[in-house]
Amino acid sequence: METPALAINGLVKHFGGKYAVNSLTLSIPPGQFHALLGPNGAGKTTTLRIVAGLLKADVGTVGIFGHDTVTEADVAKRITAFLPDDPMLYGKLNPLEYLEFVAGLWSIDATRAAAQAEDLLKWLELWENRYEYTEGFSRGMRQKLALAGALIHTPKLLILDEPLTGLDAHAAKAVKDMLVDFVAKGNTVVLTTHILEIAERLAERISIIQKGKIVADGTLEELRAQSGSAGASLEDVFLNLTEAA
Amino acid sequence: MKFVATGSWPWLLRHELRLAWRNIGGKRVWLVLIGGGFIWACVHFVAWGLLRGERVLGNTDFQQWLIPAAGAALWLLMSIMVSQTTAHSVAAVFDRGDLDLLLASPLSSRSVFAVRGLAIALAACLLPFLLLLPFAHAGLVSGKPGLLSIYPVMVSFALLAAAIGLWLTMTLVRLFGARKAKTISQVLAALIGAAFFLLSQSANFLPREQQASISAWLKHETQNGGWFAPDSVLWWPVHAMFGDWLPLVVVTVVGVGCFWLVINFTHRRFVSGTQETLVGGTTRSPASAASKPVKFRRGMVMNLLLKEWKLLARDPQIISQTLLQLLYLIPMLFLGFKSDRSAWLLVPGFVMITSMLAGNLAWLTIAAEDAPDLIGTAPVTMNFVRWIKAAAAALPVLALLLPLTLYWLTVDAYAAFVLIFCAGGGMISAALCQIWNPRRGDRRNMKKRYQESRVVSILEGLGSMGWAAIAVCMNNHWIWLPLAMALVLLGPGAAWFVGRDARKAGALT
Repeated sequence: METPALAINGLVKHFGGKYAVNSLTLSIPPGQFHALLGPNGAGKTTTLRIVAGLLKADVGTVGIFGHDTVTEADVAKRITAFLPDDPMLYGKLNPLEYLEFVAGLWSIDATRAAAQAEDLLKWLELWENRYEYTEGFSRGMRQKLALAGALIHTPKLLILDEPLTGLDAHAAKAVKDMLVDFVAKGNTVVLTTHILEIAERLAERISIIQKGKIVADGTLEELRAQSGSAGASLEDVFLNLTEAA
Repeated sequence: MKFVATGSWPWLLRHELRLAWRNIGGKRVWLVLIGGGFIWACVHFVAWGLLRGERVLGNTDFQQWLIPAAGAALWLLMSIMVSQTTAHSVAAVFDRGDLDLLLASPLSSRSVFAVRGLAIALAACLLPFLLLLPFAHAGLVSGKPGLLSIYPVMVSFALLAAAIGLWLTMTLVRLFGARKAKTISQVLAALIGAAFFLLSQSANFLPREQQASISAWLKHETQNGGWFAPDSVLWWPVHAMFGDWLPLVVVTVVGVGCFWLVINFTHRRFVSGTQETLVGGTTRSPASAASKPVKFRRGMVMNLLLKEWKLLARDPQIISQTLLQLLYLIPMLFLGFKSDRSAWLLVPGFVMITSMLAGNLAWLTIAAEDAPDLIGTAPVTMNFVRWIKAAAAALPVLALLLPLTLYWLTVDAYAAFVLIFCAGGGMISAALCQIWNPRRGDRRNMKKRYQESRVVSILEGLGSMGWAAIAVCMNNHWIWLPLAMALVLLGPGAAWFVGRDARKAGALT
């Protein structure tokens, strides 16, 4: 059996007396574009932050390509990239310096990273801004630079929390194309979004999370069947499933 | 029932005061107020003791030096207030997100600017009020009601200081644009704050003959008819505080008038300045000279160090806030290069200042990390990253001490050893407090550091004091070593103990 790109087993996380994630189990095979949907406060971001190694789970395990994110954190992190919904950059660094720093953190060969940075900045249309401090950047430019930072160490698993927020139509299309291309090369994408049209068009498989649990999981057709609404849009399916849960 | 009309400047002032009250802690402040109130009552008692009868104020010889001394102290106070109001003006123009809301409302920009100015003046006069009002109140019960003039004089001083701070900031905005003005005004605020200290220390660098001649000149000028004589116009603020009507009227008119003029003539510049900062614009980094091929440096450690140093060096706010400590260090460094044994006395001072400086920088590099998510997802342990960040904070401070240490090696190797040993110890102690008790901070609000992590700040201070005390012990005062060692261990030790939960929770990530 193929090792899953991401295997979450019985994940539990609570803050105070409230469960943010409650016995969540999910397995995503390599090369899949997976969307994680859910209403506000459902536990999507908490789950992704645990997967990325930013939060410690109370109970449960997370494996990335078979590497436990606690006991083999170094190996798991080396092949993973996480892009939060509001990425924080260094206002007093320019894009080249930012990417140089990220490449340093992941111990990427400097020559290879420099070439990769140039390609990424040109592709994301930030090349002209490469010597400007990021403090003057718009939200979309910051999002694009953070994406470049996520890609510079060529991860196998890309985790994105609301990646298209703040991007203009042109940039959003470029990012969507890039994600499709990334998956086509055998890599894995896990993304959360409130823009259901993106999940509908891009994701091969969709998980719906509510109150910290997966309430539905499958392809769009399978979700339609689960919700008993054949031919319905993902929006209707999503509303049916989350209202029923 | 409404006491003030909605949308009027008193209404806006009330709103500002409410926000300020909540920012300083709201209801918890009552506890501080009760404690502080008790101390303040004691100061009243001391003031009453000083003013009682004619023993003090009625003495002519005493008045001969009291007026110049009090006058000089008042101008020193004014310089500190101007430094404070300049820093607050920068914040009022550059850092207040609610300006968009206020300036988009039907309120006049003059009202918004005036209220900002009044808030700045109020903040500036709080400390002087605490120190001087006991004398006004004690004067009332000691038969000197004229001292109640301290109230209008201090208000006028605060308004004048606010006017100067605002005018300076607005002028810099007009001359250099918003971004450069921010840097320049923050550095200016630090320089103004340290000006009196530097001036007072400058005499130490002069030859003894020149020091004597300056002293003689000052003495001569304090005699009747001299520049600094008790009846000099320079000291009118002191006379005004004693209730002399002409100086009082002049001081009040100057304070209120300058404030009114600045508000009326610069409020439009205030609007354009704030809009310029809100719109943003780009700043090009120093490496923008030419389109050269992209080259990255190798190695995680070097990249981490360089990133921290770039962020420290490029942030004007950080420069201005650490500049003050550097400015205090400069006279000591000069004195340290004097070859007599008195230099030994400076070692504890060096240890204290460099530890504080390293502590501030360690807070910036460790606690005030801008992108903790990025660091947290990197394949490197957080503890390793924190140690590199501590090194990034300590190395520039050690570099500052290096020339003096090398010089001392040639004249007194043991003193050089004690200096570098204790200063290094103090820096490591300050860094340990940050590493072992990690609390997230916001580098844009460095001043709030002491409010947000009081415990760490106190523990850092204890560690610094301990290492300064060890420096004293190593100069043949070994008997105090156990006490010094206790302080050295207490600072980081307590930080380790109270930081257990923060470390366990993986704070900063």
